[in-house]
Amino acid sequence: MKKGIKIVLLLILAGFLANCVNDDSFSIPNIGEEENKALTEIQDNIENNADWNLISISDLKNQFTSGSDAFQITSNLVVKGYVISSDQNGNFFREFYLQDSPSNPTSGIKVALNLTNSYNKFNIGREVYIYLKDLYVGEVNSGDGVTSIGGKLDDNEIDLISENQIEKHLFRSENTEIIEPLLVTIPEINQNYIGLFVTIDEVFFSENSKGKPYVDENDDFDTQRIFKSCQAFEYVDFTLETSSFAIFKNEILPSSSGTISGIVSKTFNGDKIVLALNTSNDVTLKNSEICTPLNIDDFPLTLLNEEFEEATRGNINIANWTNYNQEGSKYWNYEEDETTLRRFAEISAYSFVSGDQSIISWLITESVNLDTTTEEYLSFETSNSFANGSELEVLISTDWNGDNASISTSNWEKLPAIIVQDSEDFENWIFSSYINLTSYSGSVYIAFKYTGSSDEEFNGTYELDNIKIIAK
Amino acid sequence: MKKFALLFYLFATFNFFSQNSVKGIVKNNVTEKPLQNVKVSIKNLSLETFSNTNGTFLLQNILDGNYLLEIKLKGFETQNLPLEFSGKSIDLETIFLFEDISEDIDRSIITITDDELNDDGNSADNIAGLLQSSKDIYLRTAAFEFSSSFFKIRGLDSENGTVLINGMEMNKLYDGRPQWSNWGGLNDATRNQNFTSNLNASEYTFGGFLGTTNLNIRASQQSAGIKISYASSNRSYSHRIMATYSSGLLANNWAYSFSASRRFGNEGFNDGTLYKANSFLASIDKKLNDEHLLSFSMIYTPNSRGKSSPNTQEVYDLKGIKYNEYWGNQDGELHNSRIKKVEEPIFMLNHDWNINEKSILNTNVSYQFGKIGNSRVDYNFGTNPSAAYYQKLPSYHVSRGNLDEAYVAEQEFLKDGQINWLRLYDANVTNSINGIGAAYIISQDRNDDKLFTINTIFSSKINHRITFTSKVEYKNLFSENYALVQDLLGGNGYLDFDRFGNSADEQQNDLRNPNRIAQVGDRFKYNYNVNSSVINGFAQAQFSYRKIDFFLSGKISNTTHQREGLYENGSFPGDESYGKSEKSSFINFGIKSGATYKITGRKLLNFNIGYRTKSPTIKNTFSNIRENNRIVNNLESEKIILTDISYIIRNPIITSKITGYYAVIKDATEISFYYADGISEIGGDGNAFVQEILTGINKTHFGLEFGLEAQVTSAINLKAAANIGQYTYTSNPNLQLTSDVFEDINLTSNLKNYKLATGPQTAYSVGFDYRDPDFWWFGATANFFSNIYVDVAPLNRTENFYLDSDGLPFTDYDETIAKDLLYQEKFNDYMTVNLVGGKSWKIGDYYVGLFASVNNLLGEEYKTGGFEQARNSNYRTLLEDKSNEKQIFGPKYWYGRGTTYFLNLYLRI
Repeated sequence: MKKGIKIVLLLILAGFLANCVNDDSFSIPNIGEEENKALTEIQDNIENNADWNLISISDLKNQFTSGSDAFQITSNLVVKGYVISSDQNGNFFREFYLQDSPSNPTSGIKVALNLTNSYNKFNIGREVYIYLKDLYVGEVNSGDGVTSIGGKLDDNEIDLISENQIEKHLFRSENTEIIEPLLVTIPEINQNYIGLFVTIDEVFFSENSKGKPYVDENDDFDTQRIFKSCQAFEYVDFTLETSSFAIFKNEILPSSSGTISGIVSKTFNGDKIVLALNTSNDVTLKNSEICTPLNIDDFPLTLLNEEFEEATRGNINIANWTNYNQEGSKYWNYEEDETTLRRFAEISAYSFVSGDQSIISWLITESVNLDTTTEEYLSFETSNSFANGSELEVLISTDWNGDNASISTSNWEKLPAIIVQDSEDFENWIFSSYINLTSYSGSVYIAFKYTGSSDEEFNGTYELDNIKIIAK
Repeated sequence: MKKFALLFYLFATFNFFSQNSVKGIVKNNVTEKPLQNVKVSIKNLSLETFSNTNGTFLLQNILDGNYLLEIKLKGFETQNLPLEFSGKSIDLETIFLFEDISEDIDRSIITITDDELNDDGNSADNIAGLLQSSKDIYLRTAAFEFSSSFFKIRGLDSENGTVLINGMEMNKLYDGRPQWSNWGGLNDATRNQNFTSNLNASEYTFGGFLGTTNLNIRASQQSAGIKISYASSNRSYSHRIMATYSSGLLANNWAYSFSASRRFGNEGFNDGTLYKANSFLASIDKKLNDEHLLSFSMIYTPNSRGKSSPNTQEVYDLKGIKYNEYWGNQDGELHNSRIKKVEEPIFMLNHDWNINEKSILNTNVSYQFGKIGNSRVDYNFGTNPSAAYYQKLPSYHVSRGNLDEAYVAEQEFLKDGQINWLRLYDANVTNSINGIGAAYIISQDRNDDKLFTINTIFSSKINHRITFTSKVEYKNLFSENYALVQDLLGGNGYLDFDRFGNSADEQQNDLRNPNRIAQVGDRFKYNYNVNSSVINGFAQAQFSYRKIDFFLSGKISNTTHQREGLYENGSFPGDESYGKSEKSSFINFGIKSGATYKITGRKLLNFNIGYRTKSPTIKNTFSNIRENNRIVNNLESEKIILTDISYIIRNPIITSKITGYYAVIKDATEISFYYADGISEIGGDGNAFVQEILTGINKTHFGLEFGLEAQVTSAINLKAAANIGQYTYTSNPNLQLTSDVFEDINLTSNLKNYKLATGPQTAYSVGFDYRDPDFWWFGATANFFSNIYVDVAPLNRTENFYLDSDGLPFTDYDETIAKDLLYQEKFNDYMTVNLVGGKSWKIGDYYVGLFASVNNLLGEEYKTGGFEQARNSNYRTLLEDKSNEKQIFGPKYWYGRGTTYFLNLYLRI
């Protein structure tokens, strides 16, 4: 029987050595190899193939006008962007936003896709290339003002990029960048900021919102809560919209003040611009002191006040002001509304059938000395007609010498003023908000710069009135 | 062959003497050597003797009459010889005993119990392991032919069967069921089994009403020798090697028995079902003297096994009956997400004390500890990884009118249709880049038990008519239960978080340790202990008279269960979840009695009746055991009454038994968990993850059992067996719904007259064995099954089904349509054909044997069970779902296996 014991022991040993069934010892596999290969191919094509092109997000968005029919991309276009939204916490669903740069972005776009928990594939900061051919650009809800990339057509709207299409059109690079939120003030935020990750300082929730949860239990889909900040002499409002599927929906809105960061988006029907959170951690309201607006009575001095009350129409001609057409032949001129009899400054490429390839027209104030006062605020009003691709900017220069020839070589800094939106009704005048000039010193010039052309897509009209700088 | 040999000697050697006595010599039919220690008895007279070293025996003082002489030796077929005594003595001369080929068959049936398909309970509950040692033709048929169809004796679950090892009860306190894998793969070493069916009196315990099996693993009781075998199969494992050595009782009064086996395979019949099991057994006996025997035994059977999924018909239609959604390919290897691992070694010490010739005191202590782990993918921060998730199937897209997407989904599912592990790793690695925890992990539901048992069994033959048995037993269980992070799948930690929680607090699984990041090996999600103790006493008296045998047994027990929450669950703050629960304590008793009336030596009438109350198991005591301390409202002991009557015929040609049985079960409790859509009272879509607690379930089981064996020629044995049963709900139980997100809802479920989902309620088998004198044999059976029903969803049978959220019936409620919707699905009848065969050789001193079986030869595809998904719990949602071309949340089914084989080659030295 000794032999028997030996055999048994041998078999036990053999049994243990024959460890050929793998139940749980798996190592981490190589990830993303195929995707990288596909992306490299696309990058090679863009570099070497004439009919392959990388398109910027803003150029892509410009091909679509809100409310029009979604359209299919039929050429080998590729758009690149960085993911700024996350559906991890349920506030985004079957969508993510891409912006064109991890910092100082200028344009963002929504990607509507049939993928839940997309955050763990298209993570925040990830560089993503979308091969656009056969995909669609348009709106998920026609007229909502959020230009999006979709996978198919649903009437005039886009429908989600299917799971199958994701594999063939969405490619991640290996890069994940840190998204630096764009610092903005509430009045600044407009249509152009949709799809950007922004941060707003010194905000607090309104009396009606604070102490309440992000989402009202009676709301089926989402809840809008108002937060405010101080803007010179007044409070300005903005809307935070949170989905009832957000896991932080029942957290209570704090009553202190601080910073909010989120994605600029729109309500479902597009009637309002809102901010949407990735996570409630992006609401850091820790300062118990809440701002109060300035008192206008403390600013008795007026450094500039122009109401364009000149009775006759024609080119604007005010002493020490500059009315200069850098390109094209169009000047700013006096205008009067026939109904309201309001008088103002106006510029338009529309009625001017010049055939100008490009129009750049400047209206520059007289020199304003900021050294004698301690705090100064600029304000004005704008309106528009036949709004389209033409643009109006408000700029400031501290080094211009007053000479027309050196306008284009001087430093002009863009001021964060609210300019009328293309979507605004032509009858309305939009207040610029009070723009703080305290950080500037010496003699400065304020410029209103119109950019357009005789092209019917870029020949819109802007109206300008009540330019004022008050100070103390 | 056996009857052939027997009759030959019977007639050839009849001698006539004036006294009633019988003598003979028992020999091995192969070696022709005398066999000693063969038990020879006249059953009706309680007369017995053992053969001596020359194989001879002599029984004297036999009264006139017709009797059955039983000649019995372990490992050999028992012979029953009908003898007529009328003042003369009989010399049977040489009686050959045949090696028991059922040993081979046992080796194949073990593969059925090895399967352990019991994926979280449900209908995949197998009782074959309990029955395999039975000699009854009906029970053997149930074990060998019916069990792969999940047939249940009298419709009773395995928790009604008691499994003992050396007299110690092995059923789990958690759910009352035996954990077969704790001693799986030790077929040779656990061959020494003693089975008493149903209500019959066991020598060891009161037992469940399905029957009691005692595995005697004492080394001194194993027949000496070495057995080595290799088996190949495509059922659950691919290969098995097994070796057993037993010394027998050595001259120095020691006995040793060792057994080891390994079973393994990457895939059984179902895709992706890996199997890996090692088994060891060691038993050492020391016979101290004629009175005392000490026995120490150890069983260690670490095993792991990949589970397979129940699927909807849509999935089976697309992927076939082997389809399993739980696995996926990873680097070319099968990776199953749901693996059950069991590792619970048992140590026991037994002391047998033969106080005197009539009385035995048997004292046993055992300690079992270890762990059971059930793994799965946890995806708090991801999407259901199953490729068969309803939103990925064609039916979902069809229901939404997206036919092109349905086509794409179908193609994708046909092409792949398994877990995409790469995507899960990618998600986690992606999250790591942003400093977020894993989206997907493999978690393990752990159940770490420490069970201590001590008992003492006293048995005494008061006189040759009366045997008295009693037992006192104490059990203490300390059970740790928790979820464990097993594999982070490339992620960096996992946030312990309840996504369904309504508030930041409710999202916490442990308020005392909020937003914890769990690492590999950490506990998360839930964490509690259960402390249980059972004290029970049992007493039994058996009486044997000339015309009648009868017995009376009784038991009494006290069972307590207490939960101790180690996490303070955010939805149940304070001592609702943390700390110790109330003690649930039940006193239970049972009583049973039976009698066998001997009409003649060949015709018997047997009658039994039993009543017992059964304490709720741990599983049925706590309404939401993972999250809180609550005990089920109005918790009661289950009551069972069972009665049966049998008529038995035994003659040289025919052995037959017909039994009628009737059982009533009252106040049973069942707890289940699922995700429901359409719970009216909570308004909206009514979605919630719920616990459903059914109390006051009454059931009635009745039917006829039939078994027949006919030795038509010396080589051919015909067999037939049948069960014609009907098992139904006979009450409308209370249904309580509990959840994190709403207050408890109390309803009544109209289950009365629905059929129980206990596998085929009707089964027939016919077959034959052919045994050639040249040591080969084969057999075939055809088995028919019918009356198989789906497990109905109780919530759909409550008023919730037709009431809208305002408490009024749905405006579009149509009773005839509703009736149609709630009709209980009856599965198709089916037939399976099974073949077995074997041959053995004697080579020198070695025996070599070959055994082969083929199950379901014709490859019949059949449903063995299934359950309605409770997901659409009201009229509107269910009607909408059933109106789809293909139902999205249709019942999930288990299919039986196609054609499978088992081949075993063994060597005995």
